[in-house]
Amino acid sequence: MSDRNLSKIGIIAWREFRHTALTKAFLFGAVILPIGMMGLLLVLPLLFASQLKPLDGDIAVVDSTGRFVQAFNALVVERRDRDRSGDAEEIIRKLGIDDRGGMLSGGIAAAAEETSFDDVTATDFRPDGDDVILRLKEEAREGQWIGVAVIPEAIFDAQNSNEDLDDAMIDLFLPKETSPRHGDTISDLIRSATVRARFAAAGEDFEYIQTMLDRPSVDVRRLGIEAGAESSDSKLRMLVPFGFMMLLWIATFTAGNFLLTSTIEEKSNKVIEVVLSAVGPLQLLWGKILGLALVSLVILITYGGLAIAGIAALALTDLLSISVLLWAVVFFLIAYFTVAALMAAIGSAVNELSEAQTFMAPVMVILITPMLLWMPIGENPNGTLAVVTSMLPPILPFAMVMRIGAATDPVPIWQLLLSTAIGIVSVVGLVWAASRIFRVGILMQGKPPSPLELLRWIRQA
Amino acid sequence: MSEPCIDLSGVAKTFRDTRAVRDLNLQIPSGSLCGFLGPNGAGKSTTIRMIMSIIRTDQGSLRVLGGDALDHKDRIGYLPEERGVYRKMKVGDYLRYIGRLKGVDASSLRTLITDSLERIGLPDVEKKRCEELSKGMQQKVQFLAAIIHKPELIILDEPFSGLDPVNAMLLHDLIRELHDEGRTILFSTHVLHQAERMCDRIVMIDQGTKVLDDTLETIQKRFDPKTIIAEPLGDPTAMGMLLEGAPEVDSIKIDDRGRVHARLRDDADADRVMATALAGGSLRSIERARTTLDEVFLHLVNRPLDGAQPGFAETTLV
Repeated sequence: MSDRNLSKIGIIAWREFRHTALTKAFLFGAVILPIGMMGLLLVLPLLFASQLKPLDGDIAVVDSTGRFVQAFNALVVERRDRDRSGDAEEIIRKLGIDDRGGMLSGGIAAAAEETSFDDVTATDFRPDGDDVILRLKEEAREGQWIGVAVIPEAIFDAQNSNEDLDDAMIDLFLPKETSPRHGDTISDLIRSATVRARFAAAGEDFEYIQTMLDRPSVDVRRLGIEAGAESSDSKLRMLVPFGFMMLLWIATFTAGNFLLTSTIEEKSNKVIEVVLSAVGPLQLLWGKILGLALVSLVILITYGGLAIAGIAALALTDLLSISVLLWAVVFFLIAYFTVAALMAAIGSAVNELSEAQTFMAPVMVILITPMLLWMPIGENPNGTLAVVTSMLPPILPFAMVMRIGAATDPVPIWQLLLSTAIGIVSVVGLVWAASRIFRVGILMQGKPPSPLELLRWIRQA
Repeated sequence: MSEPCIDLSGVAKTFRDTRAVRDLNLQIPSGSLCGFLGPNGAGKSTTIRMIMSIIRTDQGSLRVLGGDALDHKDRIGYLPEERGVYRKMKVGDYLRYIGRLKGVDASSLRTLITDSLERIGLPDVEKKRCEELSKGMQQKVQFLAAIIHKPELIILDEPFSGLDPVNAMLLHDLIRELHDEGRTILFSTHVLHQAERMCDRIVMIDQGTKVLDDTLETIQKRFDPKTIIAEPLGDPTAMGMLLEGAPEVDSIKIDDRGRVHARLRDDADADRVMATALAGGSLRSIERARTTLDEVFLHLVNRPLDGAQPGFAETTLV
């Protein structure tokens, strides 16, 4: 191909890129919005936390046994004094996030501290007919109490049958301005304090039993091939292959969809013949494919960059390596050209977007398959299903990125090379067939062709 | 003789069961302004698309500017019948895009676009989106896109369709200017009087077959009705009898408006018959009848060339 023809492909590619990616709609929808959403996800919890007031005040407890208040106040002290950052660390550790600096757990703990309760106490009252309860409720309306709890005596009696305990119900009266979250907190405190009071009534040491029942933590670490190369066992590991596949899906299908609509637009606007008077159909096809490849790359970089930034922030970089990323780029190219060839062929064969749905349905059925393969490939990335699907065009790039994302053992290099070779051959075949359809279809008007006619175009063009 | 700008030899094209073009031989000399005429479905657009290498021929050979049109796309300007614009693109960007595809360097395009838009009466539209323009304005922009790279060969498929008389006249002037600059122009049209006013060569096709291909001068001679039309101020019957007696006159007919139509013999001297009529009394008007391209078109399209039509003389030139 001469320099002049290559230059024309470049001009077409730049127009496609410019009029797709350098638009306000694209920049807002595909670049600014995801970045903004990611920012919001980080900021919103802190914003919400700053909006919540800690629970503070006195609860009036009507209890004939007098056991409840002691248990309640002990519980409040224990909860308030508990090292919440320890809780946060436990949650983060279970997720497999390496938060050695304590930044994340510290943040969560700070947020939890802000949103918990401050100085909640309980004051004991003996039941003295309905008058006490009525008076306390009136005082609660006036703001003297943050709640009035009426504890039936039967609720502490461990000798009662389960049914009797179930029937015994605590009445809790809250002022109408109490927030739902504060209502839940008060309710939770009362229920937990009741359990403590039951233990006390039975003469048991609650804290001792609680300690005995605490399940110890397990620090799972994956053994690497080499000694000492251990990595933490992350639950997030399962999300990596899904993330890889979705990234590929979003990047290729968004750009593929742009390719479809831009081809249909050129046909329906009748501008196609003007363009074809300056360039050949193959130059036009390649210009469009390459231009929208850049669009796809922008999407990939935006979303992939955000994902990598998130992974780096969570110190999970051991889930990714340079070689994994390089292979991901190779399979991104195979996936993009596969999708682009299909979309260009469909776009050139139809006159309107609605007509394209007929051809899109089978393509989507095939290409949605990788989503169904996420769990089995994630569980066993070197199993038979994973190996076979990663060699099977047109889904092979999606299956292979899931494998390389999920693999605790690296995917054998021969499989990567074979998959790449099959992918390249299938892309060449698809682009060749698409170019044959494109050459005939791009000037065709009227009724869209049947699948058999498309095959005839491929043979005859 | 120099090589024809367009040279078709035995070209044919079939779409499914429809034979769009059959055994078409056509030579368009360089520098000519050629009208490509024919009824709807005659095969004009198909022929033009084959000339542009947008579609392939089924058989025959086709040379444009001495080779394949694909190799000379930058030297050819083309306005298709089914034309459009990128609706969301600005007019300036659209012209710049097409100009760049046609090989014009970016630096010269800026002034070229501004000047050209002014020339076609659209000086303020460069920054507007194409969809903001009226259909006629869009058509002028499309025409400009076809010639922005100053091509040697310009092919226009129905350039006048959809244009109001003012814009049709503007386009007419622009085409004449381009022709005067030495460019070869081939355009198809249904507005036959436009072709008659502009072209030095006419090609007519019907049902994919060429039925006429000649210079306008030769066609006018070939389809000369050889008739004098005299409109006397006095009695048309007397004028009819006077002219009937002239040896050059073959027959006489008087129409409803009292005009005398004197059909001349093949070798007759028309000037002598006109002099006889002028001597025979006062006349409101006298003229030699002319065959318009519309009449030739209808004659050729509706009836085979070898047939005869009353009142329409077709001269075979030797």
